[in-house]
Amino acid sequence: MTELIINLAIPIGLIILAMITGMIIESRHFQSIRQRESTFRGMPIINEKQFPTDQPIIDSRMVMGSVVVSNDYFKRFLAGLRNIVGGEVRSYVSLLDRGRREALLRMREQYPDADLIVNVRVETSAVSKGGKKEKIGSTEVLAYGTAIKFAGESAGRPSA
Amino acid sequence: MKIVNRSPESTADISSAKGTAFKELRWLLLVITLLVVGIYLVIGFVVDMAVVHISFETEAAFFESMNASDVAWGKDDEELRRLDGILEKLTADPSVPPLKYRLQIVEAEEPNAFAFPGGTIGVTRGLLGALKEDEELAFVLAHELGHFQNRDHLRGVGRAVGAGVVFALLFGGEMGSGSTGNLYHHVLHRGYSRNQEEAADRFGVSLVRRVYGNTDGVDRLFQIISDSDELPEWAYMFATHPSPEDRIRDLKAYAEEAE
Repeated sequence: MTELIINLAIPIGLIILAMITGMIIESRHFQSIRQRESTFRGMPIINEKQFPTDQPIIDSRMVMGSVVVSNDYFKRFLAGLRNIVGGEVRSYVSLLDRGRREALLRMREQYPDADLIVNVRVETSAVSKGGKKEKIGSTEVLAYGTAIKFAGESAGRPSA
Repeated sequence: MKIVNRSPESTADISSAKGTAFKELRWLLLVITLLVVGIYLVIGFVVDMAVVHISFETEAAFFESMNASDVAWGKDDEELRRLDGILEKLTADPSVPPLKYRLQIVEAEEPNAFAFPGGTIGVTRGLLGALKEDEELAFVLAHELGHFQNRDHLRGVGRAVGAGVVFALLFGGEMGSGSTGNLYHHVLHRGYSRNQEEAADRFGVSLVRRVYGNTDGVDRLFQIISDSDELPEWAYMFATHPSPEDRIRDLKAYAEEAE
């Protein structure tokens, strides 16, 4: 009986705990992402190296943002079940979506006065993938680009 | 170049109020539960088909290699020697399958006996304490011999092994914790079914009758079990063994048939 409790209650307890904490953290994170994205709506980011403009550029600098987001037991549980039946692993899609958007936001927050960021690249890598299967992995997302500041009054800068 | 100010509209968020995490969890659990139940039924079916094709010789040879050592069986135990004598008497009967039988004392208080593959019979210390007469012990052993005759022990082992392999393949990699394997062990490792127990009882009664010439020990045995029984009557609806009262009634009927 004791063995059953240890074998059953601890994993299920961890999954439920991770479900509660993970979902609270994730929904708050998305709320913050949406709010900050609307703040930066006026700062376009493009992945082209060249862009047509007749405005003189007074400043340009490299900006980057990176974030490491952790997986949790609940997401891994959902993904593990998905691995059996197949289909889109939604629990990881939302994890990576958070990572990418957060990294892009942190990149923009490095130069809030910029008018435009060009040549933007996004890279993803797995940090602590977990050699042992008991380990919970996490993902790193890095975004970088070149921030441009035009002369004169900014056209589309965030008003806030 | 015209750039339109716009925030991403779609979101992969599954955790917010509108998210699909719970829906996903429900759907996955339902599908996988159905899958597991289906696989378990198929394994049971395949094992039942297969065990009748395994001869006693094959079984003995296969499990012989696993129980190679005789040292651990406690040959010098006095109670075990007495039990060995009874077992020898019983296994001399031609209806007993030709396996190499061995006895093992299980150090447990609860009166119980087990049939392990390959001909090993486990008897708890508690059972030896509760039963004094040879004929009572003989029926316990004969009942276990009935499980060997009906290949119940192979069915049990076959199910456990089959389920273990399939579930290790299914969940082994990604589900993480190694404890999931133990979980299935707990869930799936049930005893024999009531039909199997009744068949073993029938075999036991007729064997004891042939060897000892009467079934008085059987009646006494179940009176002992009935007296020390702690389960209320209704609990036997869920148990694999029939209630002692039912067993006594059925056994009396078998005994009369055998007359």
